[in-house]
Amino acid sequence: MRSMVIRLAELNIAVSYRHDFTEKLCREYVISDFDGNVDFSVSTSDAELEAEARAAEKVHGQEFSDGYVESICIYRAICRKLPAYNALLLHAAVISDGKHAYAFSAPSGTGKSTHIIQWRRAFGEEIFVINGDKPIVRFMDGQWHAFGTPWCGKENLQTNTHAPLTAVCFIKRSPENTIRRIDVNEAAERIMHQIIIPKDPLMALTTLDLLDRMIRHVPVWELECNISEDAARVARAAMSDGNISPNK
Amino acid sequence: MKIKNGFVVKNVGDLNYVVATGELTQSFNSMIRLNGTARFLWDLLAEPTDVDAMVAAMTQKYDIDADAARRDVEGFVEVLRSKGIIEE
Repeated sequence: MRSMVIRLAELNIAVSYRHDFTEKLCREYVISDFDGNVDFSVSTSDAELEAEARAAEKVHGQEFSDGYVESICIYRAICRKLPAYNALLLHAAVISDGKHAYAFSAPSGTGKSTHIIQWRRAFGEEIFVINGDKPIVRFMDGQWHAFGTPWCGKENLQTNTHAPLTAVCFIKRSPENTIRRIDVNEAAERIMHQIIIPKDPLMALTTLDLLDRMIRHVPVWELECNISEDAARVARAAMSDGNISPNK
Repeated sequence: MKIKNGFVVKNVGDLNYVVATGELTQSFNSMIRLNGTARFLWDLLAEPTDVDAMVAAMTQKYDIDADAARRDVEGFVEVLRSKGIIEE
């Protein structure tokens, strides 16, 4: 076993690992020569690795390398601990203009990535990806923030930075571009499917509590959009408005 | 009868969500939403109880006659039983 300390969502996490894949994946997040106190430690058991390998093969119909499987297990182990720090994994693509973070969520294949590309086309290099698939969101100092992590989906888009989470937006394909706010109950129902509820009872309860806090603090939207720069303009104009009321 | 150990319930927005934890996650992976009355009944079932006691509690808490309360309680218990949430 080797070990390293990574800094994720402003937490210092000691990671025990075996494979170079995991080390390379986390490279940007490693604190070298760390000599302080870690917030928590994670490691993986052989049983967990086997179960993860079987599950991944079942879902994707192909085998994955031991290193890949280990890295997924490690992220799972990290995510199980996050609720204790007011943080959780949100399955979404998060982009930022440096000031705001916008989280886009949709079932696979609906066009999160395609929509994000439209933001780059409409607004240029001002827009960057914080995490293309599995960001961590954390409630700190009375506000939700979105953080980059090494685990970011097959397109491998992420930036080791963070920004205040200004909006969560669900994307739906449509010929026209329109955006609407959704109410707290619909927001709860929909975001519930984009997070992982830990098996530990206390962490499960804490996760639901965090979700309740998220839908009360962060405006939630539904964007019906086509594939065009106009879609990005419509979305940004609505979501970046500084006078938005809380969700109803 | 009572709710099996391992379920947690929490309001998110205006609704209450029930999720399974621990070993229950292997047999139970759906999510249940409860409105206010259902949450009241759920909380009664956190401790061993029976239909009569639940009907009594319900008529005390809500402006509802005993027959209507019994129908609600029996209906709710039936749903939980069919989902394997209650132990006798």
